[in-house]
Amino acid sequence: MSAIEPPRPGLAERRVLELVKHASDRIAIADEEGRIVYANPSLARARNESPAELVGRSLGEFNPPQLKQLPGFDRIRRTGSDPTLTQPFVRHVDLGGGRTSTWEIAGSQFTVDGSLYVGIVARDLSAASQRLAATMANVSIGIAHVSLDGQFLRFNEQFESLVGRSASELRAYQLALDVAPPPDQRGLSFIDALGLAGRVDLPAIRGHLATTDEPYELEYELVRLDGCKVWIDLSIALVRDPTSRPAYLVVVAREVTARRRVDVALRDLAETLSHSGPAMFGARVRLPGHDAGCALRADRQDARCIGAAARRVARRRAVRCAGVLAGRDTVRDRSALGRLLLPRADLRARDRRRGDPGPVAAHRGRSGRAHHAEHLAGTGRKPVMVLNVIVVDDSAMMRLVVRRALRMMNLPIGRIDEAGDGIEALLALRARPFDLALVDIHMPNMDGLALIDAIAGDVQLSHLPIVVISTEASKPRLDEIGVRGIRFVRKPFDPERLRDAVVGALGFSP
Amino acid sequence: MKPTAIRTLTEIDALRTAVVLTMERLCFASPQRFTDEPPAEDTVDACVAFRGAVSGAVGIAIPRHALLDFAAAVVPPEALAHGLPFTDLVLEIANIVCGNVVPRIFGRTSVYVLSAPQLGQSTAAVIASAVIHFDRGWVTATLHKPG
Repeated sequence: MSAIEPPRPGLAERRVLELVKHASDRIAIADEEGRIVYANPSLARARNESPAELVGRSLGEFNPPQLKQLPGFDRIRRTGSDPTLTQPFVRHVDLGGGRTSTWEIAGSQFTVDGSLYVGIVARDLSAASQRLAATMANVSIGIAHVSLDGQFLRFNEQFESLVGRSASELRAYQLALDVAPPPDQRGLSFIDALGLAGRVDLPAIRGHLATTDEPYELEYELVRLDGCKVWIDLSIALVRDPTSRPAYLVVVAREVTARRRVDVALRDLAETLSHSGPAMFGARVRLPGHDAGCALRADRQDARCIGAAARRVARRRAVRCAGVLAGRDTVRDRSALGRLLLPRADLRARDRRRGDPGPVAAHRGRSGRAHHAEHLAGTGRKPVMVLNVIVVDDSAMMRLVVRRALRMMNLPIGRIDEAGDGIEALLALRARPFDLALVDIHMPNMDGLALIDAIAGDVQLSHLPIVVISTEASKPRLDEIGVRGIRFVRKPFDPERLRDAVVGALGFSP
Repeated sequence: MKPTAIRTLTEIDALRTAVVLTMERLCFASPQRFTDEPPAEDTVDACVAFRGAVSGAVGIAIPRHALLDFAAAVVPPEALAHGLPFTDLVLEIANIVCGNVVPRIFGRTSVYVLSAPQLGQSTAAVIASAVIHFDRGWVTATLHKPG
């Protein structure tokens, strides 16, 4: 196409042309076929060419070959019929000679004398992009940008190491950051990479973020591919474009395993003390003259394992706990004890939940399942944390019955896995995290009592709440179950009865 | 299937109670009435043997035409459509009824070992029988003495 003779402009038009000519933004006008009819000097300089050299050539020359399949010019050309496409997008561009750059591109179409044109204004984001990359590389937390359909756009090394995945696993498409990968080069979804499947799904997260400005927060245990378990404090926020439409998600992940260990150790200790009375208290705590400097032995033992920082936190709280207990001369005030043992973040979150009528997504720093249950039952709000359950029964029909009952219990049931005997159950329990096991007694290969003993003997599983569901009715067998501290539901059961047992086993009362 | 003998009321009551509880809680079925003789219909049978201080077996019979209705209340339709045999329901009912009836009749102080439920009738003689009619069909439960 030959160069188009510009019309003789008036003063106003000449001003506009001069503005465009001297603008630092890269500006071009193309015809409806994508051929350039005007390029400003800034655009031409980016390619080391003159504006006249660009006229008549295709905008596609700016598109790297590997990005040809992504919507570029077509996207802009369709803006007339699809207003959602008017928002700027970020794209790597080819500047010739092997040079590339990251531009933010805004386009719009217009008609002059019956001819359709596409106007493009591009801004070089290379410097900003480098600043962002440097920031992400130098922070101590995992950060990721995720597209609305759950694909990773960008992430830092801390994020990779935290979730135990390589960069190529997280993002198979390496050619352009900040661009959603084409369908055939999609990497792991962010839900799978973070081990959230069965706990929460992307629509639920997006649903929350669409209705509130609060980030979606979750604390959970991730089992990495190498079998290593870490507790992760996850915060997901939604970034909107200038027109307030959702653009992408920012995911911030921190490892909180050490803090979780302290919490669990202290909570268990508090539970023991509150159940056992002053005698137990005296046996577990040294009280030199009832002063506030006493320490809990269990805390010391635990703290040695988890490092100096956690030790200081644990001891400080244990000292406060012991001091109050000594002053009150009783250990039966569970609410005071529990409050002392709650991390401050928990208290803030709890207070916020109690006072804030809006949707709540945070389930941070759980003080046991009781805390969560209070939240669920007391507020009637949509649960965020869900219970992943394994049903162990040799009868497929009974597993379906239990599954149905679980769904009828009005509890936040998430993933329900099934196992046909104790061996299958142990394999499943060691492969994935569960919050509850419902176990039959009479099963082939490994029966329910053997399974319960195996769980109790496994350090990783020993805290798993268990409910036995069985036809067993003989007193000796029930005693065997009772001495293990396991709750029992006899078949046939009402869903309400199963719910009571589940709630009891979990340790909270809705 | 017809019982060869009717024993004591206590055993019949135990069978009735176990079946009613099981069908109410498992299949959401409502009991309508009790009879002595089951209707002459084609049935699916299952039995569970038990061993302990006393040994024997408990049998269950459900008319084939009613089984699908009972099963539909237990499992979602897609589970049945994907080949889950609804005869499993008879096996499970037999298992639960046996587990509840035996301690109720013979006492809870002994441990009884239940065999895996099997399709078919026990060959042992029937010493007690109960026929319970529900809104969606009837169920016969039988207590067998050792064969």
